[in-house]
Amino acid sequence: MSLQGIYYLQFVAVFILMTWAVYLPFRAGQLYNGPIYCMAIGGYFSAFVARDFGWPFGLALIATVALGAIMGFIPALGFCRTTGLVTAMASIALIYIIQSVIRNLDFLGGSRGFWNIPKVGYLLPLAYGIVLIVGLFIYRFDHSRFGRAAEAMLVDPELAAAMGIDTRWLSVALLTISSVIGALAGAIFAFTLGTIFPESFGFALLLYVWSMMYIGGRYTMWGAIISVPILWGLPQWVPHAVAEYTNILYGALLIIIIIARPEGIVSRDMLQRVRKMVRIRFR
Amino acid sequence: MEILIAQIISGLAMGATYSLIVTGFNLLFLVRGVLPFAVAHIAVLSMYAGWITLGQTNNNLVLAIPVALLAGILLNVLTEPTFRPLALRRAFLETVVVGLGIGIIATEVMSHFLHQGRPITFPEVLVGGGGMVRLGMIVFSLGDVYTLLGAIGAVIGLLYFLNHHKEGRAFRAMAQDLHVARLLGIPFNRTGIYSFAICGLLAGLSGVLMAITLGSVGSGLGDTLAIKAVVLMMFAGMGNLKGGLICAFIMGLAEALAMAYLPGRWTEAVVFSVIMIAIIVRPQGVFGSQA
Repeated sequence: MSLQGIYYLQFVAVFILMTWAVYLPFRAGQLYNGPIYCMAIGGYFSAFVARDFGWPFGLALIATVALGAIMGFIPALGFCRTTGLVTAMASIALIYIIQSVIRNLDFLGGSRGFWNIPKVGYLLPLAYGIVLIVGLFIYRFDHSRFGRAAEAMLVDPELAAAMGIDTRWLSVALLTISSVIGALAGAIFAFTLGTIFPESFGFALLLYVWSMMYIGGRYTMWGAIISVPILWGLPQWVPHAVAEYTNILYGALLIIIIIARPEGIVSRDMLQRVRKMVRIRFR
Repeated sequence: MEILIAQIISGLAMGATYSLIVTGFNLLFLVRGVLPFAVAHIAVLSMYAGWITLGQTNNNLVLAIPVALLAGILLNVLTEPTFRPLALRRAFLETVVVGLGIGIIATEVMSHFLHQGRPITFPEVLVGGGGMVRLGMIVFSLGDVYTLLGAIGAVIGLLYFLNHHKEGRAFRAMAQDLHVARLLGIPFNRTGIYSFAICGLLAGLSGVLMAITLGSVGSGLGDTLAIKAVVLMMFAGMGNLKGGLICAFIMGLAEALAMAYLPGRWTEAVVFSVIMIAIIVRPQGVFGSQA
């Protein structure tokens, strides 16, 4: 496979993970940007221990998960109190805070960036292994008692609380898990790029992830699998003259999808119909 | 002491430009239940419109300011149809995303087509004629005074319009209860277009005032300004016009003082942490939400 193809597949894995990380708290009605903050932490931490301490990639990944869980848990304690727009906008502050902190830490290279991250040969199969595990986890979660509790929180938080769901701890758990997924995606992202900057984890990335979730469909986990390869591949497939305007295309696509198809490309109705078709075929 | 007073005046001028954008956000939030994220981008685009006019007409200030204001109004009214179905559906979070989409397009236009994406600098004519005011030991630029006066005038005009004009009362009725207001025969589409036009006028004015105070602008300003405005709006309380004004001025002051007296390296992290914790502790805002 060509080098460009490998890069493409790895970025697709990273962004599928990121979209799922934002999708998971959205199940409970929280539009949370903590995954991007944890992506910066995971990316910088795994790159730092692998380059300067010579840790093997597997160990760095496990440590990243642990760190992501701790760093995601602390803000989650605060954000379990808020809902809707307040969470969405106040958690953007997290991104600015982590960018500013990284810029001020000299051993992470500051704003000059973090260079010479070692190459890992088996990154592509590992990345898709992680995508598969996280996907299985989210699928199981969606169809479990907790998934239904989250669904109830999305529809009406007060009713959910009245039904005996501990909404506060459910959202702490969801926000922490989504932070861990973000940290994992950050580690793969850093080792794919080889060089990372504080700006790599900024507002632009947030816009990409939001577009991918809203265009793909934010009420099912399958939206990410459809939308991420299309949106990430778009700049490479269209003619070169058009490729400069991809951001305009993204913005227009986002507006059109939200107005014309509020649930995104893969809606829950569509999923039902597909399920029915499959059942008839294999009866 | 003299430096402190000069800093306070420049901080108030900066706060004045924020206050106009926050008021625009609050107005549309009240009238339409939307969060027009792209109003900040439109303010920056109207700065570009004014700059192009200045370049074409050999620094004709009398023409450039109306052109900038008109650009703000036109661009903002053009975005109105995208918000209309969402406003009818009462889908608030979706309007944020539509606003972000318009913001992406506006930022991309600025960084590709206008001046090849390089930052632009305004000529001396606009920057208060470069004049300085001296009161004893205190020195501050004339542009800051113009900015402050312009913003205060605009806000007083808006409050008068909302409280005493027929159309302004229609706005307030829409803000109180959309469905009852429509039942009573207030035209939904017309008030929408008027409110977007007024919001665009505020954005254009804020663009002109930012041109006076900042003197130069790059394509990244739209996003920064939009986030600041949304955070301010939440900090004050969603839809609280007067609270938003007060908080905008406090934010401008705090920024100016932090730039002058705090060591620069950690300021941003500290400021954002304080704001985030304040929002988490009091999600309804310092002055309380009106919605």
